Amino acid sequence: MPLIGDLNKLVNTVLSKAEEEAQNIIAKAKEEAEKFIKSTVEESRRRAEQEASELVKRKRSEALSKRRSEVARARIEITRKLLDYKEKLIESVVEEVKKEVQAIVRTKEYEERLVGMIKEAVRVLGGGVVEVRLNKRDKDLGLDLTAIASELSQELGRPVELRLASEPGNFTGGLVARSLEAGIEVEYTIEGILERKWRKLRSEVAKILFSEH
Amino acid sequence: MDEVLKRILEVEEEAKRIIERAYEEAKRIEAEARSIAEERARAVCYEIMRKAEKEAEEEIRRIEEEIAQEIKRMEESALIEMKRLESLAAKNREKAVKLLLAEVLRP
Repeated sequence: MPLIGDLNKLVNTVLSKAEEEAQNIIAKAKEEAEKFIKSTVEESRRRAEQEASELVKRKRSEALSKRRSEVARARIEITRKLLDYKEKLIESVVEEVKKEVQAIVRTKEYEERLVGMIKEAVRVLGGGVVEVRLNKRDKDLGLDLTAIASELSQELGRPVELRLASEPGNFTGGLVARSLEAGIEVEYTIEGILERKWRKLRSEVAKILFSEH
Repeated sequence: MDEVLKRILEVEEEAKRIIERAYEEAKRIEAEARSIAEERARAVCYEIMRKAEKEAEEEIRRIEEEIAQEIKRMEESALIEMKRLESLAAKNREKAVKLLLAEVLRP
């Protein structure tokens, strides 16, 4: 009987030890599982936070780049509009002058100026036989070209003959003179003079136009 | 004696089975932990990225508002400048026209 008692005791001890070891194995597994879950989540959080930070940084950088280009584009567009507007105001001066000229070419003072222009053209051509082209209205003014030629002939000390071109010129006023001997042509039309003067005076006109004083 | 020996062997087998079951349970716990970790990591990651996307969207919206405001400011300044130029031109037009006209008609 004592042998049976010792055996039972041994059995209980072995089983109890096995249970204890089993519990330790499970407890350790649980502990490892907790650690694993925690470390995995933390690692994932760390990576996600880094990725998120890069995402925000990238999106911000893209938006700032867009801002720079859109603002620059808008600035160019606005500057262009402003310059166009300024240009329109400057051009309005020349348009105004064209209108004024339309009225002036109908005055007596213009007739005197036209004679002056004919003389100037002949001087430039150096006299000789000169064909003068006028527009239809000026042609009908009945200018005394012979008298003008005589005056110029005395002034230049060589013969001057002025011939009125049969075809009228298509310009507001002024003339086109051509030396028939030299084959040289000079243009003194109102449009030509205005264009040349405008090229020369454009910046000065702009300065006056936008002057604060 | 045979009975005693037999009983000891049985107990040893049982103890072995208890340990094996514990190892199996540990494996199951490990597998379950992997699955939970994966799921939680995904959820954490999703939440962080969602917040980041929202933050980025707000940042973009803020910058776009700034763009619109800056362009509006430039347009307003240009309009003021246009009005200023128009007013100066109206004031000085006659003088400018006279200058050009005088040059055109100058003998």
